[in-house]
Amino acid sequence: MGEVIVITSGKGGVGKTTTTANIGTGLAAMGYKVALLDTDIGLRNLDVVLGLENRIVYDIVDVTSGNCRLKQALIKDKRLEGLHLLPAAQTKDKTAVSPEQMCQLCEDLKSDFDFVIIDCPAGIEQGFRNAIAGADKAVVVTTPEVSAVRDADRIIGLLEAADLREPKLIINRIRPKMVRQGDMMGIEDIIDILAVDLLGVIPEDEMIVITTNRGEPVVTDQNTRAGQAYQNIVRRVAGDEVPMMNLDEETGFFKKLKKIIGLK
Amino acid sequence: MGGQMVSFKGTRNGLIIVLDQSREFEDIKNTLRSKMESARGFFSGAKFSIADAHQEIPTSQKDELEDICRQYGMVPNPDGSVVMHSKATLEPARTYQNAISSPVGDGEAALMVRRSLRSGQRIVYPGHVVVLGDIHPGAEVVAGGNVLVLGHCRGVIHAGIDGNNSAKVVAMRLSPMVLSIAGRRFTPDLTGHSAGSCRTARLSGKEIVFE
Repeated sequence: MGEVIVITSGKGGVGKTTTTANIGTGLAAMGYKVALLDTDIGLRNLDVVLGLENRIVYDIVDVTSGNCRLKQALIKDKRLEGLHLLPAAQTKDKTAVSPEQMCQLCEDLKSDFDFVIIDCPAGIEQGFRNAIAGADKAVVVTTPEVSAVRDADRIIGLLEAADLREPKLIINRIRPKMVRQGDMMGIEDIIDILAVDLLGVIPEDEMIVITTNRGEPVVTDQNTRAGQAYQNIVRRVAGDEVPMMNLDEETGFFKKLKKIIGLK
Repeated sequence: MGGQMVSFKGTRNGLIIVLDQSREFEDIKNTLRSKMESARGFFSGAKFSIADAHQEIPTSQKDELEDICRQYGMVPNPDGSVVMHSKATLEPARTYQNAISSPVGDGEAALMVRRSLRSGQRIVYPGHVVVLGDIHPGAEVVAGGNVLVLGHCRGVIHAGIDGNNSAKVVAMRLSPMVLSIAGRRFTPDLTGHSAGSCRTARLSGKEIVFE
């Protein structure tokens, strides 16, 4: 029996889809069987980020409405054997799927896959309720901005109300130099406000833009800082490391980074 | 009931005008007016309150009746209409004030919130509120009495909403987004963290003071 993890944030543009693509790709690279589920019906992106947009035949609405079988709609990744994508419909809207249908879909996927990663749409309406309906665990993505952190707080409250306790936090696009200068919220500030466990921190990296446009998730490139950061998160999701040790590792990384900057 | 659509009762606190609300409001009004007319200024200067022995009088109707009485020189009793009413209709604020000022007692009931309040979560309670956790920015507590936060208070707090001037806000760390006591509003400077070290907010005259 697999595990269903929803990647959510509340605010748009903080990196949910990028994170979903990278965690899914990373887990599949480790040998796990992974299904990625795009629930952003009407605004689908996950297929683009994975470079699979030209392979879509059926989508999530076709599956839930019975137009096709689940196996028919799942797209195999072009690089990794274990990675599959169930794309969102582009011509429908969020009401085309109900939370009950999502629960059933997650149950079906769970029996075949080790991990089911759900890409949640921005907002707190129907799309969000659909995305979290069948999830066992939640990961909240935020950036070091007051607005994103505020929305993350709201989302964590809604997740807790939906019995998705103890969501894990990913802080995306942090710039250590700006944090050091006091121009950006630091990791401790964000944790202090949100009071949840940290899953990982992704530094701002131009490579994200390049790899995303290319349709090749950055996690496969271990020479990039963001790629390394995502790899660490993937291993934590897989249960490889003790979370607290990883937190130390992260701060250690930034300490080193600060030292380098400080020496200049 | 007969002709007792409107009757007058004298008490130590002035006159009480007792209504029978089973009648039409227009009839009551006319009767009151004719009684005033026939009294020819006898009631002028008298303190009065309007009451019904059995049920609450709608505010709009009460205001109309009070206006009529004022036209004949009567003075509304500042204690209001509570004289004839059962205890249940006492205004909540009065109850709290009495309870707060009592030096000894069994303590007071309060709403216990056994978790942190996150953005978008709102607690509304007519009495005191105790939060066993933090109040995050964007969360809101609206209380008739005091607000006690055993954590970091960064949200929106309205204490003493019924006009309870003695209501206080106490927190382990107090840096609210907006704080009001009895309708007096305080918006801290967003850039300043000066309120962070303060632990109690109370009303001093018309100003909210932190100490």
